[in-house]
Amino acid sequence: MQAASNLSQLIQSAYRSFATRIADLSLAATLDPDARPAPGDLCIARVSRLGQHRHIELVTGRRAPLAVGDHVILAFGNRYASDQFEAIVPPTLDACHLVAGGGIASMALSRHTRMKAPTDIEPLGILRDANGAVLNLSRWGWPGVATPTNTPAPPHMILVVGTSMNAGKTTLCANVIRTMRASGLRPSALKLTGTGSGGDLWHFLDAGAYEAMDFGNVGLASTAGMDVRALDAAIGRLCAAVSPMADVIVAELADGILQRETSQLLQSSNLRSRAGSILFAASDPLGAIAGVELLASWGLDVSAVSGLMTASPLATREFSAFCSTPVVFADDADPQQIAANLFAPALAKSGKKHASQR
Amino acid sequence: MLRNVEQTPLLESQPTACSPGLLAHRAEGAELDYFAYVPRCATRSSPLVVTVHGIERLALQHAIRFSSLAEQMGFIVLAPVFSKARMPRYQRLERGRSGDCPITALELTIDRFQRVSGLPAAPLRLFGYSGGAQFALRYALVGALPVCKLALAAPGWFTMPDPEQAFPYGLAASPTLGERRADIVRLLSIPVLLAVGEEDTRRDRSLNRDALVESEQGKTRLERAHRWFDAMNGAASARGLPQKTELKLLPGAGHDFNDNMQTHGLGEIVASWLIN
Repeated sequence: MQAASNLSQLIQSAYRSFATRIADLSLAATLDPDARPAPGDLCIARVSRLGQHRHIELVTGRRAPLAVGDHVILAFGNRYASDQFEAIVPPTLDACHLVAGGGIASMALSRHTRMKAPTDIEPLGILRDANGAVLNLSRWGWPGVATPTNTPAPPHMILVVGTSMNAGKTTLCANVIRTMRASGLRPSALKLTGTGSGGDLWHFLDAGAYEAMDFGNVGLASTAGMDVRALDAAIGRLCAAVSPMADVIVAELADGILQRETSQLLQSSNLRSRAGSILFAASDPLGAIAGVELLASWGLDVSAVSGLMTASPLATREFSAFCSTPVVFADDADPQQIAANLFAPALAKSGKKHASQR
Repeated sequence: MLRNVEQTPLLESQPTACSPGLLAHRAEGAELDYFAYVPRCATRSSPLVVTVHGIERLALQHAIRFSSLAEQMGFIVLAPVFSKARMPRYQRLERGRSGDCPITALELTIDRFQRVSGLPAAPLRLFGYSGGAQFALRYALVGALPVCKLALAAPGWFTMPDPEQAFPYGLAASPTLGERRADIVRLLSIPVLLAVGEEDTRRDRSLNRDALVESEQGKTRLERAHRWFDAMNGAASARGLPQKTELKLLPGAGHDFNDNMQTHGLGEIVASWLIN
């Protein structure tokens, strides 16, 4: 175990990652090199070799360059990122990887061919408090509040899902946020699932979100591999924390709708009834049609389609030739006209003509 | 024969055919795009409030700003969008370049919403803000659907109860009216609430500065509201009709819709007027 005074100096000198932002590190009393890591546990690690991630995002959002020998304060977590890494929390504190620039320690299992090898780290130990309890992010996560039955209905949630990672979901969220601002409204932005990182939250705030929060605010380092009921409950806590000043919620589910937790949430969860309307981001027209059809088979109507596909007028035209679901943000339409496409009820029975009906 | 009311609930107590919450519709024909808010307690007998935006066309904002009141008071909100492309001068009831008529478009929109939601046809509870108040006032004079309650907030100028001036300044025939007639007796029979901020005195770029309007109605929205209120009650007295127009001044309020709804209680005032 590390002595308290040395530990304090180590914490002061280490880069503290964004994923650990909600933790109160003044409670750290010891560093346990023999603990078995669990998702959300806080650790201090030494960078032993630089790989894909050469920067770490700090709690301020600044991306600090890393060097071999730097100490970093990270949270253990799983990662599911089809364009980057698949990773799980390792069973021991042996050498592992920095698998996300937001500060996630994990054991990479596979990576996209465009990715370099992950940055290697050597965990020095897991932080414990004076009573010996592990410092885990769940300790500081918002517990949520019970909703009295006579309160006004919560704000309408526009839920953004997509074909995959990098399909344009976050850009779509930002565009919706701008549209809501242009409509004189205060949008609250939520990243419901994914891996701890500030990038999307800064993007939402820069687009004009009244507030931006993610699963990190309810004590999760990442959501990959979680039991869907626990994840649904965490999403409920996050929704309960939305400011009463918010007029509308713009919420993003990470990855594609075939990803395990995302598909489970969309097929059976409280999130289904929370989502007032659904937007689908796709990288190509075939993916867009498949997404609209798959969601319809789950009883969910897509209000509008957007995403990377809309960068190509030809691709957009291909989609519209086969599916009557509106396409948004493909041009410089009037915000009010765009807004009229964002609120078709998610749970209404579809009357749209899909590819097979046309 | 007695009916088992538990097995055959009255139509009016049945839920609407729309899901509760916020919804939107994209026009498929001559009707308007619209936003609507259906409260969780809505039934087919819930009152429908139609709220008309100003020239910034923030209909979504209207639907959302009335949503919590709709939940509390049990009314349904319908906020049509008079797009700038289709009807740039909807507030004057002028047709757009393609011949779109704001009056007909509103009536088709209401009809469509009543059909999809299962609401029965009923006299309108109509509210308009700024340019939307101009529209609402003129609709109550000219439109085909009966209006049972009218609430106007912060219109920039008015159609005066003056039979000599051509519509939309007064009631006399004009190209805008076409075959229609501005029926002042009909308007005088409707309970009308006119609300305006006591600080709504800025002569901003959107304010009508026509010489005729300035000389007859005044230089600010506040002054024009007072003049129209007096003229309406004068017109009622001259015809031996009861005065049904009320003027509500909002202390400290300017011309910002959001601010007036959220800080100065405009939503509560309007909703209480239209529903009770």
